[in-house]
Amino acid sequence: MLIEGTKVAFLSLVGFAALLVVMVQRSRAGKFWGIRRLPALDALGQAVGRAAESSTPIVFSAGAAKLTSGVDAPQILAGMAVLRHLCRLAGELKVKVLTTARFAEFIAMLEATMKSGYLEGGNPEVFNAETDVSYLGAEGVAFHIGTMGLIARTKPAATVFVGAFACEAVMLAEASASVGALQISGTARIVSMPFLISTADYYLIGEEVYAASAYVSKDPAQAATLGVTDIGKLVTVALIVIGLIASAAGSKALTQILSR
Amino acid sequence: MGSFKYRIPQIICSVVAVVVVLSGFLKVPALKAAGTNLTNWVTVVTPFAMIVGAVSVLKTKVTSVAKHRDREGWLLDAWQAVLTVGVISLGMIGGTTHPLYVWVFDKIVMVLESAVLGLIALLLLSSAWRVLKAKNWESCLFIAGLFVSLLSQVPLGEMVWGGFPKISAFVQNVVSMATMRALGISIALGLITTGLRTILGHEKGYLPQE
Repeated sequence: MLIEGTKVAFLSLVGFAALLVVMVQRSRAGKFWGIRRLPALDALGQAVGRAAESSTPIVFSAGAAKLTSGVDAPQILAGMAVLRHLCRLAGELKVKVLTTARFAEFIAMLEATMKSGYLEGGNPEVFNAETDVSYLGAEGVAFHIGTMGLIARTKPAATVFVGAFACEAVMLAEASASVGALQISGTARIVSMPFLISTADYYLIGEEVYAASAYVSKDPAQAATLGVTDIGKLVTVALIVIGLIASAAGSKALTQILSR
Repeated sequence: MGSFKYRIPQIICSVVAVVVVLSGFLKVPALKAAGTNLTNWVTVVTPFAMIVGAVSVLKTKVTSVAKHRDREGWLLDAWQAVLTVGVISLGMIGGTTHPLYVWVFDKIVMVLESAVLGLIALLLLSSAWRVLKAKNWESCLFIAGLFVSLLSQVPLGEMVWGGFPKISAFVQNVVSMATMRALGISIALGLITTGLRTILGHEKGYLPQE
């Protein structure tokens, strides 16, 4: 029934899914899973306050990756959750959030996310889909330069870069630093992390990006799903220790089991 | 109706994700075919989304030229509108092998792309200039490690001391690799959880307001 070599992966996936359902049920019964503080997400309020004081906008970008990429899509979705929360906060203080899209299919998603955010903030009239969401063309370089140009022209009080970034990490980070904007960044792409972290005032590293949605929504059920990640890490560490001992003893049993 | 508008994208997302995920594990030909078709539909939808994007750009730029000529930069908006219409028309009428279309691509687009990508090297230098400041012991350690790694890349480093390449290899293959793998494991677990959260409907950040 199962394709060769996928048994353990399939069982692990089913196990994770079952654990996720159990964790959500526990949270609904009042047993909450705590999340430690994430200064980068707490700083969104500071960014909005800074923009309100200086009457300048905030520029947001989720990167230049495709939504159809399996590895990048969760990061982009996490970016959308952060964008919605940012727009909620910005809506309360009537601050403009500007964003750019590399792929046309992003336009509708960005507009819907920002509109929802501003609606929740109580000032939907602040959002103007025609001017606040810019489509810069599918060519990567056009997107990079266009976003840099937007930052240079508007001189935002803060820039928020949460999503999947590649070479544009350096370009956007430097553009933001050159105008003196407060920079909040986050990506789970290991190769881009150093460039964003080196210039960011606040940053999300790796899995903190995936926790962003649960953190900003303050939904106990979403927070409970992070427990699955934590338990998964414990299981991974246990497997690494068992594997080390087995390997030192000359046994390949664990490798054979895991490759089934 | 409001709830329906919220639930439909969630249901579509969950059903499509389950079919595509299961098609990667189960030996069911119909499931495999369904998963492949759904993945191919994305390729079909993308060109239509590009049309929407082009229309959106034209609409914004034409509005800017027609109504906001007092604003700075409206000439650039006009130029962008002319280029968008011009190049799209050239491609549709003459085809992508038309000499003028190929010239625009080879002599303008590719050259500009190369120039912008070359800018990355300068931006890296600028970033390094800002970051490499010995403010505390961690940054001193970072600068020392960087210094050793740079010296190990050039013959001069090995001439000064033969230990530089060994230290650099240790830092890259052991310390750096261990950190990257630890990050990779936590990222992979986060990825799986986010995917499952989206499939089971607990990820709501991308959905419209309920």
